[in-house]
Amino acid sequence: MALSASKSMAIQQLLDDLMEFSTESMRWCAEASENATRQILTILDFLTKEAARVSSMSKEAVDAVDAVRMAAAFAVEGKAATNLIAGLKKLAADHSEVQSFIDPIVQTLQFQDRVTQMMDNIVRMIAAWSIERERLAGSATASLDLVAFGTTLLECATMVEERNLIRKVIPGLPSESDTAAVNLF
Amino acid sequence: MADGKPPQKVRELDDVFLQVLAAMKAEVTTVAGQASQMILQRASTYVASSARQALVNFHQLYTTGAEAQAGTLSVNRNVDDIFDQVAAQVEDGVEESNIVIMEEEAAARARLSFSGVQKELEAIIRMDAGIREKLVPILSNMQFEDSLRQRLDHIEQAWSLTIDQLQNPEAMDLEVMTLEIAQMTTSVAERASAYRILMRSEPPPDSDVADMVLFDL
Repeated sequence: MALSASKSMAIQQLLDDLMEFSTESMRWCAEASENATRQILTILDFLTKEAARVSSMSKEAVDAVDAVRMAAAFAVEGKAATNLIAGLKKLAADHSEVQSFIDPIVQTLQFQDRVTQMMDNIVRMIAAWSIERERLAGSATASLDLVAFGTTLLECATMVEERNLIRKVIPGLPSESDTAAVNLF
Repeated sequence: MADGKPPQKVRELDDVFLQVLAAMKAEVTTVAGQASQMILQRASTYVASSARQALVNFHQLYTTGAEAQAGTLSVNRNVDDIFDQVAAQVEDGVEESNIVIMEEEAAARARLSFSGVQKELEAIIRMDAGIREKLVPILSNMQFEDSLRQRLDHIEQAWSLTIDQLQNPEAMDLEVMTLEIAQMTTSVAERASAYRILMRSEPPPDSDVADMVLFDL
């Protein structure tokens, strides 16, 4: 039985709305993740004060950590973790005495940064799905090419772990070395 | 799609994408949990040992234990139900010693374990005013981990429901469906977003959702 035009349109509208809702929700998560990164700045502040209190770090090193922390606190949205990781790594290279203090913080920030990146990447993947969905639904002759769609999803991912997850779901996708070679050219 | 059903190729695409989304959700939840765990380890150097242990217990219950299974809201609702039961019996003139509280065993276990640790942390905060500011970033991070898990769950559930219903579009009641999706949401901001986008309206004032308040700080 043919579906009425009005119901067809209403269903399409629902799908579009759900895409918008999903995207907005993922954007909220990406922003919340960025805020969680900024909370690590507060923890770094407490850690530095504690290190200064028990004299396990020189005043010069404490000031250097503080400078990096302050610079990251004013970083543009989405860049707090990246700036902080880069700043702390440079600091550890310049002051060997803070290496053991900084390494665990950098590791924590990297985990938090991965969460932020994944949220951003899911937003991109939802958009890619939406475009492919529209293309297929809009043309009787358009055919589904799962490998092409999977390759598009691979391009949305920024981490090997994500790409491997996609490869597990969609067989036949280019391997990591093939992807790297394509990106190189 | 004359019959309203999406063509087979679209259904195949949806099925594959939902699998990718589920895999991404599992990965992001794991990584967020690891990040919280690392924050707890880092913070252990400046937090007193009593608070440290309470935090570790809280994190376990909050993210993987009884509370996560029961859900914060259901724990809160369960507590509200108990208050309602007591209030109703007091109103009916039942003496205090004869008041009977009905509570499912699993719900009671979740409430007692989670609220017990929560109270322990509140007591630590009350004893040491200075620790409050030290705990806030750690607890905020745990709260983020939980919100993230919930948001991802809701998106996955909403799409699964929609794609399932699309198998019989003629029978789809779009108003009921959008309401069902909106009611999956568990925070004020998320629910407002669902009502605004899916239903072109605002949540009713008595909307059964509340932003989680971890501690009465």
